[in-house]
Amino acid sequence: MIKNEYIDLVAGYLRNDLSANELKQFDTLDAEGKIDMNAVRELEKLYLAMGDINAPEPDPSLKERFRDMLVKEMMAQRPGHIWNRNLFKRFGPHHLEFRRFAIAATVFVLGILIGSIFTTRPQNGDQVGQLAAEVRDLREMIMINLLENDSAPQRLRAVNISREIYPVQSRVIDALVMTLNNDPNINVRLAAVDALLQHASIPDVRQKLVSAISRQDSPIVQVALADAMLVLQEPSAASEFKKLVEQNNMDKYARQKLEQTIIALI
Amino acid sequence: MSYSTSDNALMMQVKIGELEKLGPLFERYHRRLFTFFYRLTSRSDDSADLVQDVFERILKYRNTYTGNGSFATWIFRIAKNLHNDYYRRMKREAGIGGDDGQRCIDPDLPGPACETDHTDDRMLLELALDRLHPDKKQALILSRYEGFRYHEIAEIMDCSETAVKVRVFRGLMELREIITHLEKQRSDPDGAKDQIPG
Repeated sequence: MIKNEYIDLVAGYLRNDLSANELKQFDTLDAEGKIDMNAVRELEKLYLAMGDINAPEPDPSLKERFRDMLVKEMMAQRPGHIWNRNLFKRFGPHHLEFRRFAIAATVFVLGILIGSIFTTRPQNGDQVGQLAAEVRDLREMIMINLLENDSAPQRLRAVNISREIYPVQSRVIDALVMTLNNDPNINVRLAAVDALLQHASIPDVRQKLVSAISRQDSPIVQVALADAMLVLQEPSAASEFKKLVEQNNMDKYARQKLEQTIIALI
Repeated sequence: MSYSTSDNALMMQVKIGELEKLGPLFERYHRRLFTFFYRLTSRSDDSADLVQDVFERILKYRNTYTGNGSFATWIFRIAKNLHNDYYRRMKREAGIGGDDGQRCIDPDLPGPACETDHTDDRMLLELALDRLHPDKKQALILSRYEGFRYHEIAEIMDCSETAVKVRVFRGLMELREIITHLEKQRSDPDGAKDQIPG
């Protein structure tokens, strides 16, 4: 039996959490027979036996769920997506005109789509589903055509349209990856990173983002990909970043950022 | 830079809007949190949900993070509060505590699934632990498995250090009592059935 007044000391003894003075006090009480050491040893044995209880590893889907939640939150927090910020900086004083044009074009396209939906008067869920599929196909077609346009703003528009395509098809992903790897315009490539990040719950997309790392020569795109990999916590990206860091002609700031990213990923 | 300072630095960056910095914190803590919840609930699916809830809550309340003290105690305080909510919900919905201790261990783990089949000491200990009041169970788990010192557990559990020590001590005493009873029940199933402590 252990008296209440010694609980503090006994608990400290069990956790090996006694100061030198407390330990001395404990030993004195033990020597005087005031603490029942048999009871203490029994509790100590039990406390140590708890270490034998194992727990399973968490399911890998936990990481996926976290990634999805974080990406969603990051998208929600952004005042404008990457491509918007960079493009509008580039357009300078004319950016309002571009924004008005973009809004007008979107309203026009939506008007046609909504009009087509109401004029056909779907009778049941199948027809609505069919229309949704047609709208998706139409968006895909517009997007892929616009990506081949010579004008960078048009290609940016194409990338933006890809955000409205749901569920996303592999040909859209492939088009975005090709844009990321080959488009001559940095803003378009940045927009492609941002758009692909939205679909990062698909393993193939993550793998394609990783593969794209070593193909980038722009420090801005390299840093954007580093941020993306930090969000995704994709360890396989570390070796791709190492390849870039080993190059002699790297931008100083980008090199520093990539080195930090490698440390965070491994 | 120490590990703990690094955690704090990352969380301060999350606070100012660099949300991607939550990724490394998730990598460092999700397993610990999962096993903490698993030892409290014995359920993998609920433990995974609770880990997700911890990180959602961090994002939601990131502005309240001050950076004073250890990040580990801060995140485990969130975890402890979530477990308290979970426990209350489960008690309300399924009557935990009044269920006569018939709860099963996670079927995903190897070995027999229900109490009546448990024959080894480890299983007895797990079952006994399962019957402790959450306050005592949390204190024991934070001390024994998570390696927190009593003053840190006091911070996590929002009580005095002495209160933590009392919970650990009384928790162990109760565990011993429950195990003794379960052993009796195992050898004499009819005789000990009506007096399950815990």
